[in-house]
Amino acid sequence: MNVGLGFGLGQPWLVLGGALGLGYVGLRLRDARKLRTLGEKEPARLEGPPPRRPRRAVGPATADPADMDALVEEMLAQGRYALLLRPQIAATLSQEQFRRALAALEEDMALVPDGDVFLGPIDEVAEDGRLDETALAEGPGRIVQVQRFFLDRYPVTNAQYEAFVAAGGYEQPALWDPSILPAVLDFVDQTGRPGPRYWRDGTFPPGREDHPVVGVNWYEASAYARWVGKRLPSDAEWVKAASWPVRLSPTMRLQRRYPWGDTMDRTKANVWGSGPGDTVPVQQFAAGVSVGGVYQMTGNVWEWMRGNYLPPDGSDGQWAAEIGLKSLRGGAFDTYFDNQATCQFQSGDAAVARKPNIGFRLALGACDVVLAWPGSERPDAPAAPGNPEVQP
Amino acid sequence: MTREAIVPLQSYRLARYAVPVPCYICEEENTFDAEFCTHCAAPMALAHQLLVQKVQPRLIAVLGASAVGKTVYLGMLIDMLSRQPGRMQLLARGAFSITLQQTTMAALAHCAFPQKTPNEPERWNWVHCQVGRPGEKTAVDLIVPDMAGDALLQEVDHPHTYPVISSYLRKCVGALVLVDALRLKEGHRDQDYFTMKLMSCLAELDEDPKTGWARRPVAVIFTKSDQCEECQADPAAYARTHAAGVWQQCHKRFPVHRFFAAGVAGACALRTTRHESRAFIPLRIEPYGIVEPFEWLYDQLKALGWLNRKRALVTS
Repeated sequence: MNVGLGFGLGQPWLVLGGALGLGYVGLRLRDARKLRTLGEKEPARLEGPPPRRPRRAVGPATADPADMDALVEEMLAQGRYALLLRPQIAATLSQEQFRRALAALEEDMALVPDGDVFLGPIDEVAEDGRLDETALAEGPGRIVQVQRFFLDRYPVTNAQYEAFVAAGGYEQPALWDPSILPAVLDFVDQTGRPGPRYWRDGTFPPGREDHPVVGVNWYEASAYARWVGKRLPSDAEWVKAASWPVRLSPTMRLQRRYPWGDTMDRTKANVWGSGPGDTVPVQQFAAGVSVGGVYQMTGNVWEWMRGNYLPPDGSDGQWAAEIGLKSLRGGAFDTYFDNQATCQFQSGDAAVARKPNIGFRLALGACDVVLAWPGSERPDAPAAPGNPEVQP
Repeated sequence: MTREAIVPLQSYRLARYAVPVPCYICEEENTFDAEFCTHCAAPMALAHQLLVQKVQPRLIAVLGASAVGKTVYLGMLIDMLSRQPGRMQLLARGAFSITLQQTTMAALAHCAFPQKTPNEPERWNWVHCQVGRPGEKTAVDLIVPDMAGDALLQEVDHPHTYPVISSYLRKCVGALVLVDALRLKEGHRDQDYFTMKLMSCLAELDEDPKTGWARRPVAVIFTKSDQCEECQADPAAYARTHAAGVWQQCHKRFPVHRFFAAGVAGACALRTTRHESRAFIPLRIEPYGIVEPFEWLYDQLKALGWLNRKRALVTS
C-alpha cells in the first residue's frame, strides 16, 4: 500500500476541492502581483520570523486581496505556510517570503523519512523491541510502505484553531466534505457560535491557548487541514513517526512501543494517573518526544487519522457492517491502560464525535511542497544569493 | 479372620466439627471446613477471616439489572482506588478479594467486557477490603459482592430463591444502584421498572425511620454514560426525565440519595457474536465518574455514623 501521496486519492471531490482551493489562492496571489507591478503600492516587508508558538488568533481575514505581501503575511501569521509552499504558489513568492514559509515549516513540522512500518499488534511477536518478520507474517498485522512526509511537531492548539474560526472557516463550503455541509450548522460551541464544542463565544477558555483543540470532530479537523494546506495523517504515517522503525536485517526490524522506547514511563506522557486529568499545553512532557522530534504522540489527546478504524479480526463473531468509525491513535489524558497508549494501538470513534479528549495534528507529503526556492516569477523579486533548502 | 490396622485418631478434627462457625452473611451455623455456607452459599472465607482479624466489616450492595455493568464498575473502582490512592485508599484483604479486579482488568485491557456473572452464588466474586481517606487514622473494612443481575431479579420476583441476597441486603449500610443510561436513552423502560422493583424491595427490608433505609445512603449511578452525553451533563435531570419511577422512589423512600453518571469505555462498537447476539465492544478504556459515587457514599456513611466502630452491625 502506498501512502503519503496527498489527500484525496480515491475521493474525486477532495481532489477537485483541493485543486479549486489551490487555484483560488494562486489566482489571488498572481492578481496581487500584477496589480502591484502597475505601481499601486510598495510592499512592506516584516523583519524576522513571527513568533511561532503559542500562535495567537489573528482575527478575520483583513488583507487586501490586491496586496500580495499583506496576503502572504496574513497566511504566515495564520500558519498557512504549507499553501505558500505549493509549487503553483511558491513560484510567485519573493525569496524572503519563501524563506520564511520554509522556516515556518521546519519549525512546526518534523520530517519523517520514507520506509516501511508494521501496523498491528506487536506485543506477542516483539522481543526487546525487535520484530521478526517471519513471525509478523503469521499475525494479523501488515507492513505498509510510507513516503517521506512532514508531521506537525505538536497537536493543533486552540490558538491555531481560533485563527481558522475567526477567518470564517465554518462558512466556507469549499473546505467541507459536501456530505456533511448540512450538519456544519450544528458544529457550534457552548454559546451556539461556530467552533469547537467546549468553547464559548467563538473562543477557547482562558489560559488554554496552548492546549490542543478538543471537541472537534473528524470533519472539522479535515476542514482545518484544508484551510492550512495540510491533511490528516494516515495510520501508517502516524505509527511510523511515533515508533520510528529501523530495519536491523532483511528479516528483523526494530519498532518502538512508545515514542521514547519499549517501556511505559508515565513521567513522559499525560495519561491517566500521570497528569492533571485534563489536557496540558502541547509543549509539556518534552521527555516523551519521538526520535523525529514530535511531541505528545502518546497521551494528552487522541488524534484523528485520515482513514477508518479497522477492527481486529476475531474468530468469535463479525463486526457490524455499519461500523464506519474513523481511526484514532495516541491515547489521551484519561487513557487507563498502558497497552492502549502504545504507538500500535488503534481506537476509533464516530466521525461526528466531538469529545473532550480528541484532537488532531496534521501531515504534509514532502512531494506536495517545494523545498527549494524555484525562483520568483515576480519582476520585483531580488536576486537570490543562494537557494534555501530543507536540511533533513 | 481379623486384621490389624493403624487408624489415626483425628480427635482435633472432631473437636473442630463440634464448634460451629456462623456465616457472616446469614449467621447460620456451618462446619469449620465448609467452603460455602450451606444455607446461603456465601463464602465461608469471610467468616474465617473475620474471626481471625477481629473486625466487623460494613456491607455495601452493588445492585442493578443484568448487563448494567456491575462487574465492570466494581472491578474498575477497586483497581482505580488500588492504583491511585490520592483520593481514597483501598487495600484488598484476602487473595479472593483480588479475583474480581484481576479478571475485569484483564478483559478491559484487551478491549473486551468481562464474562457475565453466573447466577450461582458460589461463583460470585466477593471483595473484602479496607478503605479510608488519606490522613484518616483508621481504615474501614467493607465487604462488597458482585451479585448476578438475573439472580437479583429472581430474588425480587420470587423471594428466598437466593437466600444470600436477602440476608446480605438486610445487613447493608448503603447501596450503589446501577441503571443503564443507554437503554433509558433508547426508550426501554425495563431499566426503570427493574430498578423500581429493586428499590422498593430494599426499602421494605427495613423501614425503621432511625436505622432503616431512610437513614442509609443510596447512590444511583447511570452507567454507560459515555454514550449518553446529556446524562453526563446532569444525572439528576436525566433521572427525572428518563427514569421517573426511580426518581420518585428515591425522593419518597431514600432521603439520602444522589444521582451520578459513570462510564468506562471511551467508545464502543457493535459486534455480532457466534450466537447471533449483538454485543458492544469497548474500543478504549477511559473511566469516567467511577470514584465519585463511592466517595460520596463513604462520606455519607461516615456522617451518618454507620462507620463508627462501636455502632452495632445491622442485623435482621
